Amino acid sequence: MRSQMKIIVDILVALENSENGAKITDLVRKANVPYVRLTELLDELLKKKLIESIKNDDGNYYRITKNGAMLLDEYRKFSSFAENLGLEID
Amino acid sequence: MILPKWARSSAWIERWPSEPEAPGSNPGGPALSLKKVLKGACKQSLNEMMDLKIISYSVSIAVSLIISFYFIFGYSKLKSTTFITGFAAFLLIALGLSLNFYNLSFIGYLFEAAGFFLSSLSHAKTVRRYLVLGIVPDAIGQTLAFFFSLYAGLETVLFYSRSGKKINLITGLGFMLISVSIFLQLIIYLIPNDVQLIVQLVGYSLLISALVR
Repeated sequence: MRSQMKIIVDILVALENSENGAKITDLVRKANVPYVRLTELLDELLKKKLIESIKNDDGNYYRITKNGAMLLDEYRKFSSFAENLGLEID
Repeated sequence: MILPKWARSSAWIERWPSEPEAPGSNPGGPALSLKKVLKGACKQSLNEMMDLKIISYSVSIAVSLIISFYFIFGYSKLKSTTFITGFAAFLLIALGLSLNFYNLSFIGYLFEAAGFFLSSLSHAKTVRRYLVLGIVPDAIGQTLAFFFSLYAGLETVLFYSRSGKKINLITGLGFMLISVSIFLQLIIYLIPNDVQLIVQLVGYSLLISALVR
């Protein structure tokens, strides 16, 4: 089972890989999170300004912010340290 | 300078106290405190210790502290419980190691054990997964088998020193080789290992020699 942190990281990674942002339906597939849970998490990430929402003619798109990218960098740095010690991040 | 009454005799001048005196002590002497006792124990312990030991412990403490502070740094960034647990674990390990400088290695080991236990909690999920697969019971069995075969080997070899019979030495070595093969199996679990199988084969073959006569 993935931890909350891991799910958030998966969402951010999915957004990082989508240059023009991603729709919620794309994120459900890419981050492998149920729709209801994903909307809750996206609201939380929007509040924390880790992602931003852009409205297009096609619908609502999400994009990673500078803060989100920084958090992802920190996560990669510290998770590799923890993994080297055989630990999994909760 | 006016000397106190007790210090006027030439015999006492030698021991003019450089530190504050314990009130009411007779004759007057430096006041004792836990800090001073520990400092003394540390000094004595350092004198007794080999250079290599001091270097080894110092490096170990420094490494544990660095890892510990890196964990707390990670916690400040990611707020993950893994990091706070890691911080506490390595701090306990560093504390345990540093107690060796105070001749308190027994308590030190307890601290270290607590630290490693805390650290291992992060592996609990993995262990549970292995439990389900039945690998841990297997490993426990192997560990016991390893110790008992090693014990049997040592006993038999020691018995050889009294009996002088070569067969005891051979079978003792056989037991020991079996324990080595189990150990190899333990450390490279699930991976078919030819070396382990050969050692096991030789070990059991040596045991067969017990039946020869």
